[in-house]
Amino acid sequence: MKRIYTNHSLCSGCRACSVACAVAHFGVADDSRGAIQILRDPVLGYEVQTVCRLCDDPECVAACMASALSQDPETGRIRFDRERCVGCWMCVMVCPHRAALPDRKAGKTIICDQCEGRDSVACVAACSTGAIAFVDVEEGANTGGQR
Amino acid sequence: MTGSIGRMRSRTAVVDLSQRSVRYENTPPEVVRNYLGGRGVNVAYLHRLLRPGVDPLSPENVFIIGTGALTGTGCPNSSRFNVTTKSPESNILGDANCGGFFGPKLRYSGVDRIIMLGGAPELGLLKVEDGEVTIHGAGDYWGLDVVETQAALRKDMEPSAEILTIGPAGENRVRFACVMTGVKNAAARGGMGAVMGSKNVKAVVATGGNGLEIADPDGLLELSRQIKDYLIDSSIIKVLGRVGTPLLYEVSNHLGAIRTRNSQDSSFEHTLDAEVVHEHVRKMISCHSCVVHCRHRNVYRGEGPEYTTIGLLGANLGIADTERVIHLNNLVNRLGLDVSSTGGILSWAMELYQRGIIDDSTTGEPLRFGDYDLVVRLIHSIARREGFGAVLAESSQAAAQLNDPEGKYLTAIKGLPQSDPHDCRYIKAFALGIATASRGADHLRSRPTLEVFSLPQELLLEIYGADVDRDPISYRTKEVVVAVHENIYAAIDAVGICKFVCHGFNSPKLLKYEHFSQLLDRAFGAEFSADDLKEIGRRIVDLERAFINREGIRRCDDTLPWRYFEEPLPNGLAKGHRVDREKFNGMIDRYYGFRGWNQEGVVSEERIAEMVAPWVETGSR
Repeated sequence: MKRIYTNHSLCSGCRACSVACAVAHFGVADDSRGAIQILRDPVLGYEVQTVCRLCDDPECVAACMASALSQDPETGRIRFDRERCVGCWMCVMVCPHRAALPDRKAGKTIICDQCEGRDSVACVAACSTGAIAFVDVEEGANTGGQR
Repeated sequence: MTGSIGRMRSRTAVVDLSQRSVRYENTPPEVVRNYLGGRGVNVAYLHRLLRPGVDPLSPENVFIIGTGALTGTGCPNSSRFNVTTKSPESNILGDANCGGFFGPKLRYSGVDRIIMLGGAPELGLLKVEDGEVTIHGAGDYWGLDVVETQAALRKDMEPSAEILTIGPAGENRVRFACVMTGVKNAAARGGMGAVMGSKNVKAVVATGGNGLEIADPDGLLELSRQIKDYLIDSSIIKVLGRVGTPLLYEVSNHLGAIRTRNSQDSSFEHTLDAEVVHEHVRKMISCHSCVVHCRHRNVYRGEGPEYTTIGLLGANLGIADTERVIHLNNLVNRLGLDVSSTGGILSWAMELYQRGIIDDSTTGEPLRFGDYDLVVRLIHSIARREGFGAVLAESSQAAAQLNDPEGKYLTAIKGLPQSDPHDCRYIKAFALGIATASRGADHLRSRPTLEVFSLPQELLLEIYGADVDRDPISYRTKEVVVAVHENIYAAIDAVGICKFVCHGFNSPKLLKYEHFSQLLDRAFGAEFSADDLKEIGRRIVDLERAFINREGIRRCDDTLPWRYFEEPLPNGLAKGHRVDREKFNGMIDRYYGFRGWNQEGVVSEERIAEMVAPWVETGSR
C-alpha cells in the first residue's frame, strides 16, 4: 500500500503540484483544481500541503449519500464515481485533512486518485524540491509521516 | 509570419474607469503572432492607444496589466506578467515585469490582460472572477500598506484571492511607487504605482474560476518535468536557490564595481555578503511554478533582501549593518516604493549635501551617508510626500530643486535611476546596455555579463552568432552582445517565464527559444518556431524604441551618467577604469547600425508600418 507523503519544510510553496494535478485530470491549468493543495500565507510565513491520507474508515466515504465514494480494500485508495457525485460536498465538510475539495467549476468533488492508470504521479513528478513522495506506507510510517 | 496560435487564449478586458464600463476583446490573432503576450502585446496596445505627449499622471494615460503566453501553464517558472504604461518617472516607456502568484491567478480568472483607461472618480478596486471584471469602492483601504491591504481584501472578499496593489507611495503618486503583489513581488520600476494611484485604483483582486485549457496535457507535463530536472541540476540554479541574488554582491564587490556612497567609491563591507545575509533568513520560497526558490523569507516578517536592495540601500547609502539593511528592505516593500530609485535618489541627495550644493535650508536636516535613522525618516516622508520627502518623491525631476539641474551627480539615464548596483565603468557591454535600454538605466533589458566568465571562443560564437570580443573592457563587437541579450529578454518577457531560468541572464546553458517553442506547442498547439520567437524579441525592442522615439528620445539621450565618463573607478580590480566618450560613441554608432536604426537612433517609418500592420490586417480598431 502506497501513499503520497509530504514534507512542508521542503515545500517552497510554488503550487506546481496543484497545477500538474489539474492538467493531468482535467486538461486545465488551474491550481485551485488540484487534489493536492498548498496552503500558504506569505505574511504569517508557512507553506503546508494537503492531500488524501488514505484514512482507515474514511469520513468522506461514510458521509457520501450518493455512493460516489468508496475505498479500495487493496490499495486504500478512495475511488470516486464522478457520475454518481451530486456535488453536495458533504465529503468536503467532513474530511479532517482538507483533502476533499469542492470543484466549483464542475459542481463535483476533487479527491486524489494517486494518478491511477498514469505512468507517474503528476504532483510528485512536478515537485522540484523533493517535498512530495509516493512511497510504501511502512516506509512512510518509519519517518513519522514526514519525509 | 505564418502558423497557427492554436488554442492560446489572449482575452483582454478594457476598463474605462471614468465611464465605469468594461468591454472584452480577444486580442487579434495576428497581433498575438507578432507580439506573443506579456511585454510584447502590452507595448503593441500602448503604442496603439496612447496619444504622444500626455501627462503620465493624467486620465489620458493608458495602464496595462498583461500576462505572458505561458503564464500559469505550470511549466517551470511561468509566473510572470508585465505592467506597461507611460512612466511618470522618465516620461517615456514604463514597463515592469513581476512574478509571484497574481499573474497565474489572473489567467485562471479568465482574463489575460487588463487595460485601464481614464480615471475613477473615487478610490476603487477591480475584481476579476470567472471571466468578468467588476468595479468596487475601495475607500476603506486608503492608507493601508501593501501587506495590510492584501490581508484586508482576502478577509473581506475571498481568502484565496491573489491581489495586485499599491501602497501609500502609489496613493501619493510618488514618481517611483511600485505595483506589488505578495510581500515583495513588485512591478517596480518607472512609477507604475503612481499611475495606478492617479487612476484611483487601489488594487486588482483575482479570484479564479476559469482555468486555462491545455492542448496536450500529457505532453506539457512530460516536457515540464524534463525541463525541471535539467534546471535543478544546474549549478547556478542550485546556488540561486540556496542564497538568492545576494551572491552577486560579492562578485561586484570583488571586482571593485559595487556602487558605494553614490558611486564615489566602488567597494564596501563584507557584512552584506550572501552568507552573512543568510543568517537572517528563515526559508527560501518560490513564485508560482518556480524551480529555483530564490526568495528569502527573512526573520523580520518580510521577504528579501535582493542584491539590488543590499547594494542600493546598503553600500550606496553607506549602511553596512546587515539587519538594518533588511529592515530598510521590508520598509520600502510595505510602503510600495521602488528599491532602486529610493536608494539612487537618497544617495544623490546625500552627495549633494556633502558637496555643499544643497544645505539645511533645502533638506531641513543634515544628510550624511551611513545615517540609518535619517534614511528611515526620509523613506516615510517620501511615501507620504511630507517635507523634504516631497522633493525626493519627484525622483530625477527634482534636479532643479536640488540645485543640480543637469543631474550631474545622479546615476540615471533618461530620467530613470540605475537599478543594478553594479558600477558600469568596467564592463563596456553593460554600459552600452543601460545607455540604450528602452525604459532608462536598467539591467533587466540586457544585462550582458556572460563575458566575465571567460567563456571559450567557440561557445561565444554559438551564443552570439558572431566573433565577439571576450574581453569585458573592450568596446569592440559589444553592440552584438547587447542586441542578442535584448532580443531574448524581450521574448522571455513575452513568454512569461522568469529570466533566472533562461539563457543569458546568469548562464548560457538555460532555456532558449527552442524550449519556448516546444512549450507553446504542448500548451496550446501554437506554432512558433525558434526563429519566429527570436524575431518577436527583435520586434518588441524595435516597437519600444519607436514608442520612445515618438516621446522625443534621440541619440543624445542614449548616454551614461557623467561620472562613468569622467571619473575612474577608485577601488578593487577594476580600479582606474572608466568609459571613453569617443569609443562609447563608436559603440552607439555600431549598435544603431546593427539594429537598423538611423544615426539618431530612430526607427524607420517602413519598419513602424510593418510593426503596426497586424492591427490593420485584422481590421481591429
